[in-house]
Amino acid sequence: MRQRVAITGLGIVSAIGNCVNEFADSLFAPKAGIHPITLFNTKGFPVKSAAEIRNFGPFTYPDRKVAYAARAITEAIAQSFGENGVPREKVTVLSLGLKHNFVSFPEMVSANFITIGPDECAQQISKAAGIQASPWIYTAACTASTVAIGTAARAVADGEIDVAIAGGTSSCVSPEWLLTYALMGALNTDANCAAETACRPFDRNRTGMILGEGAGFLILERESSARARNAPVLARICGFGSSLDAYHVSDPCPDGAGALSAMNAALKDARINPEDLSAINAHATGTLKNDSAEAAAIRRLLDGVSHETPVFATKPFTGHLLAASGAVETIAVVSCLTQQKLHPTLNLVDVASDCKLNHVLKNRHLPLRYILKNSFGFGGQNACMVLEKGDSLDE
Amino acid sequence: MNDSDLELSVRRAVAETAAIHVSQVQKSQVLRDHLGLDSIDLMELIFLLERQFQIKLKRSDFIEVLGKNPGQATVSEVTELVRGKLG
Amino acid sequence: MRKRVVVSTSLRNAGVEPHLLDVDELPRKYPIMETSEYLQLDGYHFAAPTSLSVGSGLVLSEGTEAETTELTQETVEPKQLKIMAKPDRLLTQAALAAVKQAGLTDSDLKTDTGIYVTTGYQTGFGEFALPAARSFTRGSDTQDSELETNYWADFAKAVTESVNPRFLFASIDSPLFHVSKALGIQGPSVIMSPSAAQWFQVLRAAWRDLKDGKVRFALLCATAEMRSTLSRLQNARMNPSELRTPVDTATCMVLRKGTAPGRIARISLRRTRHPHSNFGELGSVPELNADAGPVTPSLAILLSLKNSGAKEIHLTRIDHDGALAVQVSRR
Repeated sequence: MRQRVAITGLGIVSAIGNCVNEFADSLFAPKAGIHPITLFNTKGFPVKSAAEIRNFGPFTYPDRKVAYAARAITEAIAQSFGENGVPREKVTVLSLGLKHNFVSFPEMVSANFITIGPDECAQQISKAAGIQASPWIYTAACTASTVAIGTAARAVADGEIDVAIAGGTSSCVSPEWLLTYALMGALNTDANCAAETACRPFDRNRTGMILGEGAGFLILERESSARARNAPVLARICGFGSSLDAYHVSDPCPDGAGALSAMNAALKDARINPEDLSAINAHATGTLKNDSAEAAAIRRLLDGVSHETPVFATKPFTGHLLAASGAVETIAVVSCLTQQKLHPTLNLVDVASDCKLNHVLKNRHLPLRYILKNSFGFGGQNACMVLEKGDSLDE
Repeated sequence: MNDSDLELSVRRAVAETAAIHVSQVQKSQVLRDHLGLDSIDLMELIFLLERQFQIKLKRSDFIEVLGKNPGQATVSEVTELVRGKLG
Repeated sequence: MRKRVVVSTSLRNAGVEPHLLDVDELPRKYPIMETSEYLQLDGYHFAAPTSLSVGSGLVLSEGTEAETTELTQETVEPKQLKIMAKPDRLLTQAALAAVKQAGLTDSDLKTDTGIYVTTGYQTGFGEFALPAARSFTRGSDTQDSELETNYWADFAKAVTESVNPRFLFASIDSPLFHVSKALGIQGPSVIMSPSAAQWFQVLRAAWRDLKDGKVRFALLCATAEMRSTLSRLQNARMNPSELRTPVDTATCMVLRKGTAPGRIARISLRRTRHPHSNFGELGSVPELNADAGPVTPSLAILLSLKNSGAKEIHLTRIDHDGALAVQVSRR
């Protein structure tokens, strides 16, 4: 990127915390948010566990992800710009990753059929958060919010826009989406598996994803602009890259070639080499295929350079937020950079033979400068971002 | 349903899943290695067999009865599995 | 005298009465932050509706009826064809034809090409699941607690028994996969949904990657099944006055960076940065209607190129972050 892009605000709603401080505390406690589902009765239903949002309060909007996004955006703007909000003279966009909301079956047969498309969702989010900004709406499956953040960062770096409110939101912990993903073969549907250990990326006994819900948003602006107004530089986005597998509609390319291409593109955009990475935050869904392919890609990236680069995964805490996963996990990365320690990959007890990496199994304190964030999605979509440490807490 | 009808019905379901003509489906062919069925195809095959024969069929049935994953089964082994379900 | 087709769009939320805005007035209203970036249009294809209403009463029409195109097993692998929904088929057909017209090689496609696509309210799975939903007659207003306990178990059973899982993968972003797989494209991509506004945003994304040298070729794509049940219901609720004759259609344009005309046309982009606070000074601009949803802007360009004899086509989008003026000059 031509200019360094500062992250000056963060906001989050997740199964492990409805604000950034609570979220970060849970990452390092460690305290995960995957539990037996309470949103509906799962008797006879193939899926039993999820990462639900708790203690959120009443919902004004029928689509929960609108409320999650509004809360997260409000927190992020307050941190960055204070109570007056984004100044009206700033050219601002709302860059967000969304999943097309599923139409509830009972509603489909009802005369009062209601669904909410991505544009209506963005409108409601803008209104709920009290912002006026062009909505850039990305529907790139599980990479959507990473793409939303990365492309917004490039637009900020190039001077196209001044401020980006970038991230994603998801409320797919619903019977319809859970069933859809179960039928796709993507979820852990083992009824005998305890919820707390159901998401186990890279483990030999992993059997699938656990869905989560929530929202994560970042405020992006040029670092020069942030410094000029004494805004906090929590971290920086220095590189973004994407690629396509052109392989299969749901399975990743087994040798990780597409993923490797996106990782290399992000490093090239950041003008760093693999050995400059302090750590990698993996996509790591807990499915057999994603984790094997991703591990293969990471080994190829580090081959001949440094197989000691630590790898850690956030989904055992938050579940897989699909379109919002990239944003929420980016906030986990920023939390790690800010505190100069990595959170563990939970439930990794017996590393699969094809997933051997330098896994982080408990909190690890070490100097952190650049962290690579991976996101991979159905359709062979790959999106990766490089984040850099910002100002330390002491500065 | 007699044996040859059963076998033909299974071969038709496999053919539909593999997007080929039924004449190209042979009993000895392995679903993945010879017919190229991938994860989605195998899900679809199970769905078609369940509907065709009004049976319940799970991935675990392949492992318990045949000792192998669905992709590793041959067309004739799938026919035997269905025959067993029909009783 | 040169014929021009002038079309302007604006945010529906502006809530202003439409009148025709001549795109040449745009620079006088707003400061230009960036002069033209040029793109070359080397190839295009679209699935043509019978007619398309654009702007205030301007109608562009295509003479032939072309509701859908049928891909063959010679052009796409049978197993890929099997899982495609209509928007996937329309767009893949358009991309194959556009790339052929532009003369791109396999090597160009694999490493030097990106895909930038807008899709409509597609939910292929939703369409296929409708019969299952309708057969699941127990509504959510049941008062019986015993029935409630089994409600979602029965729902799961009804769907599992009715819906072939291969249709689960026809999603809002599956058109991107199908184009990438059919053409072997492994470069960057951007996919946005669901309306005309997003087409201008993916155009900017394509322009960004071309000017930064991330790709040499950009497939600028759009696809929408506006006549699907779910699209009709969504549009009836959101845009009741605008959807006159919904169409199912797709477009693909092959773009390169360069100031010389491409094989077909040259495209220039002029952009202003403009904060939302002055949006009220915008005045009034007509809105492209929602007949073709996110495909409408590109379809307006391509129908004009093909049918109207116009030497220049102007398309302008004014949004909260500024304005983008697109001028297509026929070679």
